Amino acid sequence: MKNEAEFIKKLLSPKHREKAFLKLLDAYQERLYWHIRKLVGSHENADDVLQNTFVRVYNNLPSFKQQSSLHTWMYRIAYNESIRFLEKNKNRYSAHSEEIHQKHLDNLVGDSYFDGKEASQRLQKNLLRLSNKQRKVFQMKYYDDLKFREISEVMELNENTVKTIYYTAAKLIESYMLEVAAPEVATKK
Amino acid sequence: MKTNKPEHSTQNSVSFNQKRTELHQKELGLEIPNDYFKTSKEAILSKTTRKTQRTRVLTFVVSAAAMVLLAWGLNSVTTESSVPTFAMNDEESKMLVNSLFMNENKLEELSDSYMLEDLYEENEVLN
Repeated sequence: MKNEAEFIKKLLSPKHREKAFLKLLDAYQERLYWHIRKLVGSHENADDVLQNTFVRVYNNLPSFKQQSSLHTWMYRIAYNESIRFLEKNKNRYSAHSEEIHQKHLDNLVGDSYFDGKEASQRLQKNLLRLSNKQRKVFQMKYYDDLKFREISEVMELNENTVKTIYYTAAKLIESYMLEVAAPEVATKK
Repeated sequence: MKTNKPEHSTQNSVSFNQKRTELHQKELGLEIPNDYFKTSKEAILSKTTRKTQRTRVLTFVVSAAAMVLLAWGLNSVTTESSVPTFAMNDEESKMLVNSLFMNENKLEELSDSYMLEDLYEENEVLN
């Protein structure tokens, strides 16, 4: 965002706050929605978390210390809100990661706002084969287009660690996607 | 899989959002209801800026109502204090009020006669 300091001043000024917040909403609503949606799964859940995120952003603007960019700060709030939501609802899932993944996939497939095409399902399944951390880093980098530094701030991890996690995850996804193609080639022979 | 990486800025946020939505829909199969972002925006605004506006209006209305009540209360207290504190059918109060409007000479005459009467009574008792 250009002239971020100036924009933050407007967000904090009672006179310009409403207009500036509307601008902020226009700029971030969609990108934060997709960021949240990938973390929480279904559309209904993402909708709740998105609203909570913006309410939190609005209420916490006066205490924003500008130690990070507004962009990263908002992603961090969205990320934390999603984690809080998942923590709150973790009793719905069992403690075993495989079952959690299956539930996540069931939720996704059962969601009326999932198109359920074979390729999408395959990619989703393969994403769920990654560890939690790998999946989050991969999604933030690949789909949310965040920089490594920004991901490290959002997830409170070292930047180099984030890079390593991402490259490992990307390689794994590539190999998982090839796994499905290989048997088909074999049967044709 | 995508190839172009759009930059983050408000200027190209519309096309950027469009690309992002397409990417999520095509690759991950994630759909959203029609006009979702429009309705969601309204919901968010009603919980943030419009809520603040409503609170401000409500605060104003409550303060105005409190001021009116306070003014009315003060006015009734002032009105009540202007009403005489004694009851009009009270004999003592009537005498007190009447004494205020009595001629001074007549009052002296009365008190003299009262005192003289007292003296006669005392003399009679002594004798």
